[in-house]
Amino acid sequence: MSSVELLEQAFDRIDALNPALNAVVAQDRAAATCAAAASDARYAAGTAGPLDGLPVTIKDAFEVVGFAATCGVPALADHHPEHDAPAVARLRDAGVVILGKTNVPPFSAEWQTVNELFGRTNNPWDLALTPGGSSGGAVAAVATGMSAFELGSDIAGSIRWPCHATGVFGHKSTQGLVEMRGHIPPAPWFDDEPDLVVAGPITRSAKDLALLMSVLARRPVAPFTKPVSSWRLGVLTEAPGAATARAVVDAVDVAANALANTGARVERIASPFPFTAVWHAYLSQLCRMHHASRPSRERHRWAARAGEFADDDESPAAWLSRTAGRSESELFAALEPRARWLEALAPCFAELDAILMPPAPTPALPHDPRGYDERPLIVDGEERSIFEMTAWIAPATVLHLPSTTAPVVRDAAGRPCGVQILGPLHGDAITIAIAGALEAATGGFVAPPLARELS
Amino acid sequence: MSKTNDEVYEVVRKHLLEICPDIKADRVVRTASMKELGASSLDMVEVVSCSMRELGVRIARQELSTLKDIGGLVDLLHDAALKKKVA
Repeated sequence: MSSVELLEQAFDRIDALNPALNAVVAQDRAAATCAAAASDARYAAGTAGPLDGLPVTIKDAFEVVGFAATCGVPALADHHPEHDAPAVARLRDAGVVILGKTNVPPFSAEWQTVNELFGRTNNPWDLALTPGGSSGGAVAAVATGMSAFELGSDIAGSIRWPCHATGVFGHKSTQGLVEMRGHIPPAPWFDDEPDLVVAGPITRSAKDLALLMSVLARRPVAPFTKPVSSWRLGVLTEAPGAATARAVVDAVDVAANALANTGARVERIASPFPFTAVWHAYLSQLCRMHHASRPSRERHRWAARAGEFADDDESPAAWLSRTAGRSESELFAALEPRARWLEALAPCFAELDAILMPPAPTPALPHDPRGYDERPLIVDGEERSIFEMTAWIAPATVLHLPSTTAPVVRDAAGRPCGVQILGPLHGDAITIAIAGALEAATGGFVAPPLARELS
Repeated sequence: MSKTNDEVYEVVRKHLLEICPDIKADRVVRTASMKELGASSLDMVEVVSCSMRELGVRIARQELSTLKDIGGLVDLLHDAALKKKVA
């Protein structure tokens, strides 16, 4: 099939599915058609790149020439970048055809995908559910074949949670491996590459993750060649202080058993890092990012309420008010023990190749019009703090570790459930290889019914 | 006729005080940074985009990323307005 035909197929899927999903929020079909024709010419000349002709959308958190980079923020509706974000430029250089952009919550700072500019994105498995966020438009586009793959980004689980919620593969890369200039947040005009934000591919197969990381990474990814029979994997399914839905724990167990059946040695482990301390260090950063992405007058209101909460109150309101009066540097100080935590983790990764754990506390959730500072998290019918959304994503983010999310099963309600595979620093090839073995053992990606009807 | 540097400063100052009502007006000077005054990232994006819109100019991200204070932003906006007039 030619690049132009491949692109037309993507247009057909967008025409058929996007009205219900609202995942793709900007398109330039004329420019994409020119790019696809140029790709066909490269194939004819024998000069095609490794991703040549693949029609893709890009998460609207990245700057892409030819499109506004809004990140779901009305004040950025007219922000037309003059350069591609370096990660996007690498994809373009490898031959991809960028046909459009996908929806995000404002400043990529929500676990649902809805904003004033473009409205709400729906989960292709059930339109009444959110695809998660912030890469919500991206996962919906990949799961339904509207995009060959996506470029996601992750600060608070923004690759891992939506991939788990829609049944696709995603890779949160080792911090710094993929360049983050040209990504929002931070605000496009004043800040440099920030800590904790990483980019990575979202795909329908583990093999695609590996191919894309070879293009996106700014230094070579160390290869992983150990045979499955010598893999040692830890399994961690209990988060102190946070609830995890039965269906999610079951999916991790299914993944662990499948890998054990392929010959890997799998064992249950206790957390090799101080789980609560790492999580709370993360929550300080989450609050810092929350305050930065909202009007400062909201921060003043939170600060004024600080006296209402006891020191051990773990509610979102307590966290947001407690942190509102602290400076950025005071909040950054919560990350100071990071080197010590990483050092303590070294013996664990000397023994284990990776750790299997839940990517999120629950399968996909119904849409909720309330902001995350107003709504609870519902886990197996129980009301919990929404900040428990970060219990399972915090370790990889705080410790800068690579983490691959892979689909495993669907729960009784038909919602996808995945597993998070946490690896050692720079072990990106390890977690992707394990996702590949799991894919071979369990069948991997399954298209949602909505998309299957089209095939 | 293009605005003077002082008039551009008044545009930026007006938007900053409207968007951040908690910032005391007497603290807004050319040598202050919006961040130090307590503006959030969202506030700063809104101040820049409202100022650009009112002045009818656009500034590249690369130029804005070098800014240290309000005076620097005013100078960039003023230069952009002058260039637009020449063009």
